[in-house]
Amino acid sequence: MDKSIFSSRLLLPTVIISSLYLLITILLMNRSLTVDTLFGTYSLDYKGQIIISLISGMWTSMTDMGLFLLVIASVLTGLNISLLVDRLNKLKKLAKLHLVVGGSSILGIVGSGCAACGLPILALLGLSGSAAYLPLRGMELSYFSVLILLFSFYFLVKTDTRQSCTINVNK
Amino acid sequence: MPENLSTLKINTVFAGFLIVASFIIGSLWTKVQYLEKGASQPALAADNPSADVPAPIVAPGDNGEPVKVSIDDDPVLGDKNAKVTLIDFSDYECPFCKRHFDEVYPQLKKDYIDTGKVKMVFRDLPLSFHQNAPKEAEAAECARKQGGDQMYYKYHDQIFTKTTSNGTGLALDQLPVIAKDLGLNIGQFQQCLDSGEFKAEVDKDLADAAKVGASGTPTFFIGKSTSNGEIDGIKVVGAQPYSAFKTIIDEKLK
Repeated sequence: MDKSIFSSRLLLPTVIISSLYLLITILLMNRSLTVDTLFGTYSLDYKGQIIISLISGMWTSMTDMGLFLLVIASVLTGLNISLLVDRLNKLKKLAKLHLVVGGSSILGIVGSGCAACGLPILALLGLSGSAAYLPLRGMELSYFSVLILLFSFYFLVKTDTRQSCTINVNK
Repeated sequence: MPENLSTLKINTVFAGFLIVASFIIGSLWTKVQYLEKGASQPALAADNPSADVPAPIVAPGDNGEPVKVSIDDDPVLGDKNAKVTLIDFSDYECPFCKRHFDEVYPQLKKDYIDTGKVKMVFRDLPLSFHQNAPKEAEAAECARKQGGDQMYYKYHDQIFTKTTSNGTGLALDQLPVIAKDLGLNIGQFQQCLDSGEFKAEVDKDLADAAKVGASGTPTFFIGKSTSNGEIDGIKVVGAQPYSAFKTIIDEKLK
């Protein structure tokens, strides 16, 4: 396992990405109001107050479990993206970044992002009502997102970028 | 290489298994919940034949444009000539609607409705997996039939106060008890409730909710009042804090 992943170097981007993810998700839940507020001809004071109200609304407009899963998904998304970018940079420095590596990493970023989107993506598509068809009213998507992100995180941590071949002593 | 391939296959199968298992556990858990409450399989709002308007692929108002929403013939709380109208699509058995009722509604009523600045219109959006919600909505309409809009809101307050809002948070046999406490004629009330006199009214609200893109509860539309009762409403979804309502209403009052 690459120990460098636990360095403080990854902390800041993880926090920034996680916060952005959380913010976007919360605002997407009230997409109509957010769009109207950001692009309407209102004062900055009004815009600021609405955005702050919607952010503070995450405590009142979600279940405890829903909020917990959202925070976990945000942190995992932040970690995944930070790790992927870090891995890309390392490969670049080692001149090991080929099209395939870069391509799959980008797919990984998109994949992890999409897997984590869950309800916000449905909301974006205007399909949030369809979540009612699921047994847990859409909570499945949150569980699914966290699961996929955990897998993604596990494989990222597991992957080694050292420039050496390992010998399997058992053989 | 073959070893890596086999590990990958095992991981993929394991991931697939976990996903399927999560879904099945979720389904079973929900089924058990419903069975424990003595309810049948939850029906979906879209299964309701009276809600004949299909849920739109892109909900109206989700592009940020105000949505045209009518107050219909639904009960009004506050001054009928108030400058701003707040339409609340709500469900008596929705926990977030109850949270709004407990934490935001009293302040809104005190600051804006009682002062004549805002009129509130309650429209029914009983989600079909909240088993008792449709009948509770009808009961409130039966109360209105006897005592007008004021009685409607007295009844409305009592339901939200007494229910635990979990689908069956208020036993249906408590509906006449509330009516009796409010001094209504029990015979007339029970007859109204049993005959389903206001089922069509509740169903119309459901259909209207789908038309204006209210797919969950509570969903609010806030806009300047008009003479025909149709507002260009800004959509607010969920149990948002008082500050969100205050900011929007203050802007509309300018």
